[in-house]
Amino acid sequence: MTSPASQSDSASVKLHRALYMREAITDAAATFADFASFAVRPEGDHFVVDVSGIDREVEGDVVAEFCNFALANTAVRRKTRHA
Amino acid sequence: MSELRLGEQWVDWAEVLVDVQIGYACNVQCDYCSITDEMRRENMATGTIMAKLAEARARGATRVAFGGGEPTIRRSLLPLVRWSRDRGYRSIKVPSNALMYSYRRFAEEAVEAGINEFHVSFMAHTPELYEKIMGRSDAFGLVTQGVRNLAALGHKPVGDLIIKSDTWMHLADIVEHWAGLGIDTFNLWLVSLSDRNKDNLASLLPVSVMREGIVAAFERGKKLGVSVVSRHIPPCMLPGYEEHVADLREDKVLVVTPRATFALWESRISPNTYAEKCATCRYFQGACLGLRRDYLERYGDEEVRPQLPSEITTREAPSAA
Amino acid sequence: MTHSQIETLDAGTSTLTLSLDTGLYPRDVLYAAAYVFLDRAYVLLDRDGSRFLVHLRGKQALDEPTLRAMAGEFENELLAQALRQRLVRANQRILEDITGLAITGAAGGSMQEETAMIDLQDSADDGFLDDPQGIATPWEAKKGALEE
Repeated sequence: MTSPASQSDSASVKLHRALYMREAITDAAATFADFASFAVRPEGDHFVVDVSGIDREVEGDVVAEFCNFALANTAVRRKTRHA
Repeated sequence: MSELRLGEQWVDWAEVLVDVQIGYACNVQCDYCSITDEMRRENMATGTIMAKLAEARARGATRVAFGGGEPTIRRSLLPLVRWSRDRGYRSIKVPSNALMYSYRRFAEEAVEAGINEFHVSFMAHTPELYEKIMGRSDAFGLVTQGVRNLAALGHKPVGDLIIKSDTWMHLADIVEHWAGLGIDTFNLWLVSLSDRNKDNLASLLPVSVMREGIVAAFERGKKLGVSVVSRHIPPCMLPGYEEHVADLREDKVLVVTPRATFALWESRISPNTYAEKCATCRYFQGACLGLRRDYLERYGDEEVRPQLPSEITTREAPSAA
Repeated sequence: MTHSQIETLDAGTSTLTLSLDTGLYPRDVLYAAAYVFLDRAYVLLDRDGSRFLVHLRGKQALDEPTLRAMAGEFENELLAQALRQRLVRANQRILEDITGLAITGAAGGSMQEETAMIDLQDSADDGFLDDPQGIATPWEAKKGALEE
């Protein structure tokens, strides 16, 4: 789980490859492009997302919201695919 | 307890509104009407209507609507209403242009038969605009008398208003006029570019152009203490007025036409189409049904503003639509 | 009986981790349940062998009873979503029945009698009997009269 937003302007988060679609993650990264920079790389069973340049002027937890987006996008993409 | 799958939701039959389009014949031809001459000849046989309603009733339905066209010009309407009431339908709705209710006797018979949810399509607030839209010089007077007759019988119709190129700037005044006659609930519907009206592109302006009039109607409603809700415009196009955006699924309407049966929001003239950028919105596949297909084809997604699922804000105000 | 297990719960960070057997729920059920919580919690899904892990962190500060309640709500949501999926598959035929009513089958004997009692002249061209102003006259008839 991502920790509550800290003062650091960078973070890493691991998203399991069986549960998050890469396209969903990159879509989420595009959505949050105004608030941070995202680099996605595979590492074992996970995608590791290195987040940097997090905008601290923003209210809210950018990384955690990004993860929510990646999850929502994955759910929607799967639903659309099966429709 | 019997349930019906309406769209993606399961609904108890007792909550379903079985909205039977008994035929498309009408006593006027409003300038924005999408019903073609060919469609006007379509009528559902009385026996068919009764069979469908009996089946729905057997499953637990208690709410019915008789739509059209103009249902009040059909001779078998009131007998069908009585039959439905006697079968156990407790809520019986008829949407109408209200011209027939100007006959006091017809209004009395309609109430006596069992209609207890009256809806009236109000075109305008002046005789001139009424005539321009409906093509009948005495329409405004007749509708006014119809509303007065219903009010005298203890019924306040719900007002259905059409948002189009020559009404959007008057919506607040239209609300105020009919509120003065006792109407306290108004639905705003966006004109549809379909069938007979599909080439009448001028009738549908961008929401961003008409927003001022739409919002004025909301504000006037608040001032008068009446409800004004929009039913075809996604919440992102009415920022700050999201509470005035109604979800078509709330009424749990099953539409039964001579050609097909479907959930109201699945209709091709209902909002049920998303733009690509909608996928990032907090309301995507949730509170928002999307846009109308004809609107998206006409104007694209430029006015669509996805709402992030958080309350992320920046010091810079978002750019105005 | 609960199918999910609380692995960790920390009111200090408003976090909760649940685990559940991957064989119990399809992934789509897991997504659907998680989606419901996105407005009020940060949700991270993970997998550890044969267990799904659901990490939840409240967007607002949450005490221990509230976190435990959230765990219960998540379990309920999993069950609700799983039931919905099963009902969709099992009841498809009912929908087909409703949308494709056989009129002759549905009418039956008493229905035919009732139908006969109602005016079977279904054409809207009937008009309304007592209509001195011709309000009920269909538009086509009015148009035709004007054109003559």
